[in-house]
Amino acid sequence: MNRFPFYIGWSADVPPKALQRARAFLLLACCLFGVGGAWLALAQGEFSNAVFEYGQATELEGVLVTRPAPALKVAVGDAGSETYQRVLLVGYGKFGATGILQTVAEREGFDLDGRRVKVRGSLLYRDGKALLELSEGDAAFLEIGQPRSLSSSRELYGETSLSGEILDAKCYFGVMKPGEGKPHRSCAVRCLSGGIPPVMKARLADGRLEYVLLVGPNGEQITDRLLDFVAEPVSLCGRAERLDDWWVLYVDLNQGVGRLGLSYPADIPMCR
Amino acid sequence: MSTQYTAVIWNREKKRYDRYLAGLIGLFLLAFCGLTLALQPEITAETLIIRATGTTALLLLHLTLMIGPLCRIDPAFLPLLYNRRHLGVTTFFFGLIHGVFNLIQFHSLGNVNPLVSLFTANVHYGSLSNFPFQVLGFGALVILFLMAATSHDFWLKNLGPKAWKTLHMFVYLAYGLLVMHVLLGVAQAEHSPVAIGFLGMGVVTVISLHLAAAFFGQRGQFTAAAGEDFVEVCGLADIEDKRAKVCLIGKENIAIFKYDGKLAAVSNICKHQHGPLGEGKIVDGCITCPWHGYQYLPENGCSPPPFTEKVSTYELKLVGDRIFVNPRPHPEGTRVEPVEIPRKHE
Amino acid sequence: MTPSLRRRHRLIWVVSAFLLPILFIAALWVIPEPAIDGDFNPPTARPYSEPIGQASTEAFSGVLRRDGNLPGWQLEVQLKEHLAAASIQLYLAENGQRRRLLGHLQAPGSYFFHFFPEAAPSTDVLELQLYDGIKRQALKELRLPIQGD
Repeated sequence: MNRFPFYIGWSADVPPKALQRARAFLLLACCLFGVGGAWLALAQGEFSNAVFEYGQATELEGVLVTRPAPALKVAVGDAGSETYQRVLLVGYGKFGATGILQTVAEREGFDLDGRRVKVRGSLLYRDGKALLELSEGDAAFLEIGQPRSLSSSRELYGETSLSGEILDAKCYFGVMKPGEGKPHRSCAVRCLSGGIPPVMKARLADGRLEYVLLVGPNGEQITDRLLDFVAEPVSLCGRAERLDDWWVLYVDLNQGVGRLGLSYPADIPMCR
Repeated sequence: MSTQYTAVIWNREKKRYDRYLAGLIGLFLLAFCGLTLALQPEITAETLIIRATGTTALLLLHLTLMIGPLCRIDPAFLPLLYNRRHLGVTTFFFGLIHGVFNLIQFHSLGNVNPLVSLFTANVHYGSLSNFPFQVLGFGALVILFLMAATSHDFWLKNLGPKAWKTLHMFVYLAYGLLVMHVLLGVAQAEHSPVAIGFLGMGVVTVISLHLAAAFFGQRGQFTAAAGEDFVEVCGLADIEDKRAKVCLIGKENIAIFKYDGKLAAVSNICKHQHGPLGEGKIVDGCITCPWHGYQYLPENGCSPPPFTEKVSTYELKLVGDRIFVNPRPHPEGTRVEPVEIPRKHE
Repeated sequence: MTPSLRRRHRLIWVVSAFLLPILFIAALWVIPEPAIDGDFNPPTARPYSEPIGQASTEAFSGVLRRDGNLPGWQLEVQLKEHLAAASIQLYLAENGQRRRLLGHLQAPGSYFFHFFPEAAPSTDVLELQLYDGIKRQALKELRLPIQGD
């Protein structure tokens, strides 16, 4: 009868067969950990080159607008041929800028909408879209000037439907990688609840990528209605319009949000 | 085996075990983090930490779960079992880093307490594809925490081996939760089949090993119904010197040892973690448990002084070359005179 | 291992051997496909008929076209990669100096711009510059030779 070798952990003697088995297991584990580590690293999807200039302050001057989302209209062209880009304003952490704007408005005693301001914050950007995190809260407002009338470049698209993923602008455009998809779902919910503007990342039929700000029919915040549908493929209906460099969808809430994935058996796209 | 509790016991073998473990983890982190940073410098530090620690924890859990059945299939793997708890505790720590970074990254600095947010940010508990997968990871981490926290022999002794083993079997639930945590989480965002393939292979390996151990693992024990005073178990030649024959008579699990021309029977269940004493060996005159080396004297089932563990003993008789055992146990630690084997049979 | 522990292990793993693979496959099956079937399709221009110059770099390419029936020139710029830029403007440039703003670019894709030949600083080469107007830095450049008549 050939019994197994006997091994006692606290004893110095390890039977040869046990040593052999332990070595074989270790070798296999080394292959698994080494090759697996390398292979898993190689298999990861590409990370975006979005940038969050954390801890780095940038001062921007422009005209503050609060709708459809708090933003600073910044002149980006050279003098004479200037054009305006809307740099979305967000707060620190998972908060939008609305609270900060209210604090400043109460302190100053007037509405900030349409005023020329100079603010300091950390830039976030990707694909030529920029956001500014007002990291210092209401102290981010360095100068507040007089109201200035400034027309926006507009292009009305009309009624349409849009398919894609609802995400929070701050994470997607720089803070997190990836700032989209299922792993990020809870974070997107948290960010949108905190007032960060919802954006739909829509892949158009010809392969183009468009970022579309989502608001209610009258330009109001509709975050609460979207929270259940973030980070999954959905379709929305409404009126689309381009405001400066951002497309905006005034979502038709009566038609609801159409869920496109196989989430619940009863889910069928409501957007017809 | 010790008479008093020490925070962590390290001996030569455990140190060697831990060195290999640290080497394995180092190898993985070097390969994964090194290549990721070299090829994708755009990754954020948080994402790298979350991915590296989560994957390490899952790989270590696979190793941990493979060791048990491997030892049941082939006891020569027992050196891997000896310090498995350090492997388990390390798994928990990597899971903890992963969990804490996730909680900070995805749930902190918001309008709700991060721990509340973990359970309420995504409330699609009725959906499979949208299921809040982070909750699954949290559940697994709680189980791993309870196991790591009670992994010390202090808890083993105070909870009792039965309750302790039951608690530690929840690791299988934790494993299932973690598999689903990956599949309903990152697998929805990373489209490469490599990670899914790895996980699939891991699941198949772990299930196969456990099924193989359950159905084909070493047993070779004699089984009989209870009732008679003495039950015939086996012949003298069936037991190797310094080894035992295990027999299950009714509910009594008995190990009959042959050593130094004598026979003695004690309970097959080690007081430490219910390890199989009958798969052990007589070392320095003591029955030695194959799992962690706990020792008992064959004639009275007592651990040699200063240790205090005791197991039940049983009466034996030898008729010709046939061994009979009385399945009524003596109280733990009762001395039973060993049966001398006549010279003609030796 | 006691017989009862062995039995519990066997039960757990027999159940897991059925349950885990089923859940594994189900979880893979419900992974949603990315959605691309909306109606929204902001108009892009129809390319003019006659190419009169083209050039390409790793980051972007340009094709200059004209059309006998239509006034002016049309420039199609194809952005090939995601740029880590706060703002992407396309300029006609001359010796690295920005001369005329043609418009904005965003994610990779094709963009069309219309201008009159008089706006081009040179008649031989169209010098294009992608510029970040917020960070105030040049991003990419491209020299596109114009073929004469």
